[in-house]
Amino acid sequence: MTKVDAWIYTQVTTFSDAETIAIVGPANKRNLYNEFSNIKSFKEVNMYDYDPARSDDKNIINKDVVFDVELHEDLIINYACEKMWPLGEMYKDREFILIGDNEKHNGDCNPIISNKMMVKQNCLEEIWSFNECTRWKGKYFMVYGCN
Amino acid sequence: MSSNGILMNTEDFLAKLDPEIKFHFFTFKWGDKYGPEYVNRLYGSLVKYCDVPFAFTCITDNPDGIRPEVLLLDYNQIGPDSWRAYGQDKIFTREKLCLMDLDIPGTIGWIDLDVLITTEVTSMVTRDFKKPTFILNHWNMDKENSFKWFGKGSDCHVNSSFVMWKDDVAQWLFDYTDKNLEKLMFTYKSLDKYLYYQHWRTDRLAFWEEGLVDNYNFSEPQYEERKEVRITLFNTSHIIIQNMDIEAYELHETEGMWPWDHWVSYDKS
Repeated sequence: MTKVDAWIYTQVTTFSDAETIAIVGPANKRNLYNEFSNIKSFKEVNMYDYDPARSDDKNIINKDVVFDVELHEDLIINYACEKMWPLGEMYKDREFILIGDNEKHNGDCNPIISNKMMVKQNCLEEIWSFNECTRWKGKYFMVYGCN
Repeated sequence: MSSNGILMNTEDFLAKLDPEIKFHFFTFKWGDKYGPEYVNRLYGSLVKYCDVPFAFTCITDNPDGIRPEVLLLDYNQIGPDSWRAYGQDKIFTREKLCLMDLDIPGTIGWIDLDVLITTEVTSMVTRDFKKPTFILNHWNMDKENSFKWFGKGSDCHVNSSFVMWKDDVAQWLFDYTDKNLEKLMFTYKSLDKYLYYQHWRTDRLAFWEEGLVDNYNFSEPQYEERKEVRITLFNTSHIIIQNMDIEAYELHETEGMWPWDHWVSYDKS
């Protein structure tokens, strides 16, 4: 499990009140989906990824969470905050685990330069934990809270 | 109808359109990247290769040097104020979509200035379009890893240099964009990426068949004249922006190469 996944796993299994979980932008990663799917207190765990290359995976909902669908889950784990409109602007009264990086890749519309930035963008009113770790050329930022 | 060098606002322009004309082509020229010869030669190429009566309009901030047969629409007042409030680094060339909201009956389309038409296009523009029809970058799509970076947001296989539709079949695209404007402006730097990520993915667009459109700088082998091709693209801006190591030419840089003779010949059409 990566450092980021391990941090997410610890936060969710230790602190979360959620019964349903949305995992946004998991790409190839299935660790958390598999782990959470095996925990009985989580009634529903869904993965969302709009890449057509993921459409063959029956566990993926092949939709864009900003433009195509409305998320109904209690906890939203967003692996790709640097690539999208802040979900906390769209969804209120949810738990959020927000992950973003500052590497400014081609295609990043929202490079994340701090945890404070993600807190502000997503209108988080309570912060339960935060962290950061090194990435290839930059850093991952990680925040857990609710709005 | 002649422009007499006068830029019209949208209201006057629509009021003066000839109702007998059923084909309306537009191009955009703002800033100083391209001179008026690009407009005039594009018009000349349509005169030569489009065998239906049409109106050709340039949406511009500077009508100097544009031939009088070309109608002129003021670039600085095209589209809603809410769209103009954003900088050019947000959905670059979004102005094109405003043409979909003009409510002009018939076949409507835009053609970028850096496009070279080299043979008849009548059969392309007289179709019964059911969807707005764009260019798909077939020259890139078969390359290794061409879809690998979709999830990263760095793919793009849609090109909006030659686009046609009929009546109101493209109205939804303007409406969708207007409804989601803030989020779309936040997310996408260019029109092509927006179209690719939101509307190619969801099968809302149509595309010209493979072989009709070519890219002078990207097709392999590069710089070749291909017989079946009707439209060739020359844009180099993304090559410059992305600092790509590709020898690329704009139309005005092709003197001594095959596109040049076509291009300058349209001064006489």
